[in-house]
Amino acid sequence: MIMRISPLIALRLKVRLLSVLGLALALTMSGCAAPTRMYKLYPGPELPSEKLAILNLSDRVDQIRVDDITIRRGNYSSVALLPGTHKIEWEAEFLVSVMVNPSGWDKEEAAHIQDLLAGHSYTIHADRTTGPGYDIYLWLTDDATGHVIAGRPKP
Amino acid sequence: MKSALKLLSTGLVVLLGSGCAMAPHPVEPYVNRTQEIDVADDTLVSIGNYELMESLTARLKKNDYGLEIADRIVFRDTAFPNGGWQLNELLTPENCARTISETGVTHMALIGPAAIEEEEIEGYYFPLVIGGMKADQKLTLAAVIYDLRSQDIVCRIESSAEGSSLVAIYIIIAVGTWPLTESAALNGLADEIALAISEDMNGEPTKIVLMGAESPTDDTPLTADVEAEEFFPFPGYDSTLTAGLSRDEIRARLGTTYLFSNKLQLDIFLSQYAIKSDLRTPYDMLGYPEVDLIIMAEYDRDGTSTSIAKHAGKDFAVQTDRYELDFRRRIEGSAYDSNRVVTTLVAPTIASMDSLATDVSPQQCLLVIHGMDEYPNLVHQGPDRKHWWGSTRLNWRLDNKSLLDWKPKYNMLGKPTGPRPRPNSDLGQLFVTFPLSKGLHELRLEWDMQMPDVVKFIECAGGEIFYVSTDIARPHDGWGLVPKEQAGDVHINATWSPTKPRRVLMHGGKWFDYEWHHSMP
Repeated sequence: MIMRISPLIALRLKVRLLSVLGLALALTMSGCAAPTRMYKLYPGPELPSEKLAILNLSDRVDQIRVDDITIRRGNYSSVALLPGTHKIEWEAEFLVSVMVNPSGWDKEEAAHIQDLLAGHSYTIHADRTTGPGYDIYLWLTDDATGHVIAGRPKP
Repeated sequence: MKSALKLLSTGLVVLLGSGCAMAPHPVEPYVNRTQEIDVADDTLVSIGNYELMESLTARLKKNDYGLEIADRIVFRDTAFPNGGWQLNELLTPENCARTISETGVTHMALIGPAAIEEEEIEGYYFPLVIGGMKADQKLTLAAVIYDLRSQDIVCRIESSAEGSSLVAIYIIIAVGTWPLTESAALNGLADEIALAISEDMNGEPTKIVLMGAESPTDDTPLTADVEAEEFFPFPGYDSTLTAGLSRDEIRARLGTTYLFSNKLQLDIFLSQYAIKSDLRTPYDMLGYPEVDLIIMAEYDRDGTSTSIAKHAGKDFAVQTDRYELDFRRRIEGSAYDSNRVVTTLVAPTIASMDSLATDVSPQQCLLVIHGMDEYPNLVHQGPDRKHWWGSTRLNWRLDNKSLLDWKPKYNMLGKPTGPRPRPNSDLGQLFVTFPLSKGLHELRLEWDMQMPDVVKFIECAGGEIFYVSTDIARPHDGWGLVPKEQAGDVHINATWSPTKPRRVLMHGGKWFDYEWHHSMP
């Protein structure tokens, strides 16, 4: 069976193997700087930021899909969009106890139709809790106000 | 003793010196041009995965193929001045002519997302002490090259590479190798793209662009069927069913009182669609002469699981539920026509269950295991994410001989990588039969995870069929809600005797009578 998964997941598989072998620490120490590229997801010439809505990907968001275009955090750290209504989907994956998920990984996805304003910057978040009541939280904030405008924030 | 200590100390020094080395080892790509790569109708053109695109570009530039690589964003913004990014909109004569005149790009290589096949990690270790681990990986990239001048596809390319990661641990030291599958597949793809365009342009300098392919409905807008070809064991058979037949016509051809014809008369024309690698293990079993395999798909009365697929420019209807993972992308965006041909049957050796019954020698019995197509359903999680239903591995053993060792190859989460199959769809029943000699036999179903082995004893008196089903994935009220006490129940329904033949009717939606299935003594 062909299992189609993203290169990011593939990378994680490697990391998983390494973690099993006790080498995760070495990998962590080697560092993996997040890119600072911005994905231009609007047609036409470059526009000033006050005419755009910017979506930032927080560290724990693996990838997002904006209007059906996939953007991976390994490639881009933010997305520039024209203001207006957009379909935003994102997912995050976490290493979890096998008591939570026998695979050792758990993933959560979120999808929202969101109206984004010109000159505003937004951040897509993902986080988890541990222990009893374990859960994954995905939410979207307006950076200017700090308000959660979509999703469920981590308590 | 001294020499032994010396050897040991030398070994330790060598090992310590090696530290945590992970040496990459090169692998060879397998590159081929195939017509089996489809482009989904709803494909979007994007600037693609940055690293992948940059690596391909670097390879093309490094090898000096005489290709000029255009900027992806400039090309996209020229080709799609109003956004939308629909491939179909790009490939109009007017739009292509305008884009060519403004960018100079004559060829576009549309690159699909990487498809990665990961095997389970194998090996043994005591954490941080000693051991060895291995994981196989296969990475596949696909590209479709368009000549924008004619809007035609120049060629479709698939490049894959396979390799193993090996790790050995000695106390706190690990040494290992990583296969360079990604770079191998990537280089193979880049070289073939260059070659294809060079052939198309007779070696003249050409300006091309590499763009990403995305699909709103799937993450794999370019799909390759080489896997199915590779594992399909009956090459050379032609279909007697063609696209566009109505259901009535199909029924007229297939009949309504039997399930299969003999020797593939009932068609494998969609084998590459209907039989995907979920079923690879049963296919492998065809290598054993004593194994018969019947794979069926069904007609769906309400059409909800019947869909249209495009292949080689023709419309086919295919099942979407059980084999949806690779089918769905083909059907989205296609016009739906519930009267089109429904997918296929494969019946290598057995004419029907009726004749199967009459074929049983009085000197032996047959063991028929049904429901393996349901096995992908075994791996799912309860809605509270704390209860895990099913298994990640299954194995049937008959008299301690392994019959089927099934492992799901879903994503790392143990979840299907595509839309979830619907429960209760009764699709694609899979029967595998095994001859049984007279006497007592032990049939064991092995699971991992939470299920204990299920052991049944079968007494073969001769001329009987023992029908076994694993009624695991039959939730009453939705996916993943099988009560645990019901999950893992194994029915062995014996004595389908030739003297009491059961007619298996094709009741529109089912291949066999479910009532019968449960009411057998």
